[in-house]
Amino acid sequence: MLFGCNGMIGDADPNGEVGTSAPRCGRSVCGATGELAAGSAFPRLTHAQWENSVRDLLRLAATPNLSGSFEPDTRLSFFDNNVRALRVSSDLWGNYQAAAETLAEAATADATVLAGLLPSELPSDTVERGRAIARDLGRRAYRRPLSNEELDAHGAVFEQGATYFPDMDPLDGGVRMLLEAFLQSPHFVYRVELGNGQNGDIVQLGDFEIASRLSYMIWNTMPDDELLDAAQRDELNTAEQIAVQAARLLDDPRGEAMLERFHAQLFNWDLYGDLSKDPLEFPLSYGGAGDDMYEEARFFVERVVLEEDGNLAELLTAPYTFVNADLAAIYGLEGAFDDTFSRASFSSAQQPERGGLLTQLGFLASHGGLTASVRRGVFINHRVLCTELPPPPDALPPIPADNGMTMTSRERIEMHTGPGTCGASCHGTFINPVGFAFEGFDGLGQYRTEEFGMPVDASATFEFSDGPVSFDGAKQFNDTIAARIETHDCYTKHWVEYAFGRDTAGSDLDLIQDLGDASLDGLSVKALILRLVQSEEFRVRNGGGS
Amino acid sequence: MSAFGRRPFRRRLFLTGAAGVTVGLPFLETFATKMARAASPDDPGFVVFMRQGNGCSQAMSFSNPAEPEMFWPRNLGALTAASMAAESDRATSELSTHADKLLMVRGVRGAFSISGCGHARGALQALTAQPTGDSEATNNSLALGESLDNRIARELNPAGRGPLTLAAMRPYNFLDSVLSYRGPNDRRGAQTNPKVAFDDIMGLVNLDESSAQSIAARRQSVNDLVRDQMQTLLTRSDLSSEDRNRLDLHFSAIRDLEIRLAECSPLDAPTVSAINAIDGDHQNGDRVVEVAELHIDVVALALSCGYTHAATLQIGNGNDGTRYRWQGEEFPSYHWISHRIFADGSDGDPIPDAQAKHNAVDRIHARLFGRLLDRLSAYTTETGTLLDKGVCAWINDLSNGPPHSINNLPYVLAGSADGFLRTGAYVDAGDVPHNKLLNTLATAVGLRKANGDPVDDFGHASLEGGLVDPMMS
Repeated sequence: MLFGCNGMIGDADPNGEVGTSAPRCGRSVCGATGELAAGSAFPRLTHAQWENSVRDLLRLAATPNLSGSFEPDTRLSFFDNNVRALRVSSDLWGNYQAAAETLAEAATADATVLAGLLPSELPSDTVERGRAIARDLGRRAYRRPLSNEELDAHGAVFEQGATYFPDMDPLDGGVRMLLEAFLQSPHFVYRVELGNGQNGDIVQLGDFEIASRLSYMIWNTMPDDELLDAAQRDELNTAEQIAVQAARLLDDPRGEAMLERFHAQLFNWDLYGDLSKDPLEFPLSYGGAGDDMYEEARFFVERVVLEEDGNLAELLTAPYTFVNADLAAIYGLEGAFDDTFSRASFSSAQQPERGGLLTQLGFLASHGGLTASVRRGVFINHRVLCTELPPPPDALPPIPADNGMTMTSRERIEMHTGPGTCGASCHGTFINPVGFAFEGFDGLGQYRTEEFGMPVDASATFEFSDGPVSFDGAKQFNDTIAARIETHDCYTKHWVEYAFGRDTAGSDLDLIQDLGDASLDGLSVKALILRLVQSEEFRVRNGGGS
Repeated sequence: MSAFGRRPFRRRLFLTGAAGVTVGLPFLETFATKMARAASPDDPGFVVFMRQGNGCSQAMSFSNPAEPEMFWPRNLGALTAASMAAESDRATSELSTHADKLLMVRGVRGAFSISGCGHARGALQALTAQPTGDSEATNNSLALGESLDNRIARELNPAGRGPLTLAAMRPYNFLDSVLSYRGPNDRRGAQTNPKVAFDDIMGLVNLDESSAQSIAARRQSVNDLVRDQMQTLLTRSDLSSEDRNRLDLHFSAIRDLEIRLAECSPLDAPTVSAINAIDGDHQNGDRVVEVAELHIDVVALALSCGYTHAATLQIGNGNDGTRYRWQGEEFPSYHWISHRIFADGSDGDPIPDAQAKHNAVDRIHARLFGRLLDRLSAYTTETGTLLDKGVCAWINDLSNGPPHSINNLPYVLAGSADGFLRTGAYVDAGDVPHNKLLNTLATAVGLRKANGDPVDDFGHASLEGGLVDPMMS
């Protein structure tokens, strides 16, 4: 395949021709629809999920913070839960083993923790006691009931506690053995989805598997007792039943954390922590500004999605944000601000181009510099519009120096990459128009009308699926993309990727486009999540490919 | 000695400490039993790959303006301490005190041409000699086969123990771990914390025998249960091939405790203290060199113990953006320097004296490599030093600055692998693809084909096989 810039959005048509004249589908996410995308029956817990699951299994107040020393996972998508990257290597197995032994020892040495792991009533018979503990603890460790054969095997492990921990009370030693086994089991480290029956390639998930899918998606941890009980009663296999539980999970602080996790990964908020600006060029910059910008974005998403029950368009355009006094100064906001974050509205006169995630300081400042327009344009094309752009060629000459500051950054970028240059197909057509819309913001994200004494030009035209649209400035651009189907398809595509922990393909396209249509019509983000988990795709897995 | 002959057993290692104290290290493993391939050496060596990113400061006559040579020695042929020291304008002069152990190899090009994200494509093939299966060339591209460190570990290490895979970097979720592959599209994450790597090694050898026996029995019991569970899953007929591979990898990773019969020589107290102190701050982008130094100490420890026969040390992330310090000055992002502009892409203001800065970064890496050679040279055997038993390779994903090409990749090797490789020499391989260099290293450390012949076919099947004659003694 050649690496021209075809501007194809989403999954490229394999038969499409390369070049700017290549046909484009009418939607953000293109490709052949069809069978349900293949999904693993053994998605491994992410390290964060492992931490949370251990906390909840052992009923600890906080995560044990042991995974920091685990073999790090390779990130193969925007999201950390993509199953392709999640495997148990030799090194990670060693990490799991060491952590299991450490946790089992610590838990059984703490009378309070240990008491929380035992059933309220214990049989006096040693064998039955071991089985009772294994039944109770195992249901939460494996997120499903144990079979009789499993109870026998785990009961035998329990009994070995007296042998291997002769200095401990036999019950304590037995629980320690059980914990070591549970925490190293594939049924703990994977979210096993073997299914409840298969029709062709379609595997129908069981109630307990749906409980885990729901819980790990929204809470990033194991199901709670209420969810497990619902599964036990076979009350988690219809769209309506799932929606009830999903709404409950979303209304929990752990549901709020999912919104942060999703948007932080999609918009790469981690970049903000590394911000370091030259104080001579940006006197209002300060140490810790990046962390504050992260908080700003987090507060904003929570307000829009949870408190306002807002939708994607509002995430992209809402004319307010959350600032402390330092950030307020950068925005030029008037009013009384202090160290705490409070809501601040943008004035059309004072902050005419502000509104939404893409005009917040974190995004703008983490994509600053001479090539800010390129970096902002690539980011938005990739992550907000799902435009398929090839990577830049290897060998390109640098932008010519302009020590005399006789040109704006835009002029220099255009000379180098705009129409008529070798960068025209990608930059001139896709990257630059998007990036130029944000020329009204400098490297710290401050609003500007001039650069080096010359007027800033933030006007451009972008070729959307329904035709070219011209805009002048970030506000017009954000209003434009908020009303375009490709933006909504792209956002829902990311939600599907995140919810299923895999790349999207096949029949996902129908789901994505249905959700995209609804999002464009104003469906709130919360409602979108609930609609996603009620989909048929959420209750099944493609078991083909064996 | 014949190039492919058997090598003598390594009986004992001695560590000569700073105060001249010699500590005996009894022979730890009988390697012969681990050589599944017949007719292989009894005492295999090791390879350490120390990886620099972003090319080096070698000459670029075609650039505008042209850049002079600032990396390689002036003349092919013998390397001596005097000849190297006299060429102080070259980055490799930093290694002059190791001249008699060095083998510099020019004339090696990346086996697969690169386009798109050159950093990804250069790095993914560096130790695999494999292309990517992706039609796109992105930072997410993966190699289509295992890397040499994995192959060496698979054949020479104790069963189930992978290569030591370390990195000194601040992860950016963009081209982080790039070197080691277990197999097609299966990249191994690198350990960034020297403390964890150190504990992994020392944890196995710090047990007294009765404690070890007790733990071994207990672990065996748990492992048996887990193995049974995994066997049950693996016998299902409805597994996809991908899931089967996933479970196979996990199943093969389960190991029973190896009770070691000897102790590793302890690292000195200041080093252990430094390793402990950096725990938690090991991904600080300002401490990359410091972390790399400690990783090097851990690598030397691991090799001296026979813990592994293959190690990689990746310095910086894929397109290393570390801000190195040189002579009191904090540089811009090294990636920017390698592009000669204040930007990661192709557009940006020129960086003054960018090639000189690139050269300084080369020197920082040369000094790290020198530290590795110093550490391995401190372990003596009855016939030489630990360094002589294996080979260390300072490699780079790319050749040079702004073009980021893969012609004339810079390979600086050290150690003869028990006499297999030439040393004290700067040779021209003759514009060969780098799979041949990897073949040569594989054979040098003791790998053999099933029929006992040298490994001449590592990497992608489409590549012409063979070894690099000028490298061999």
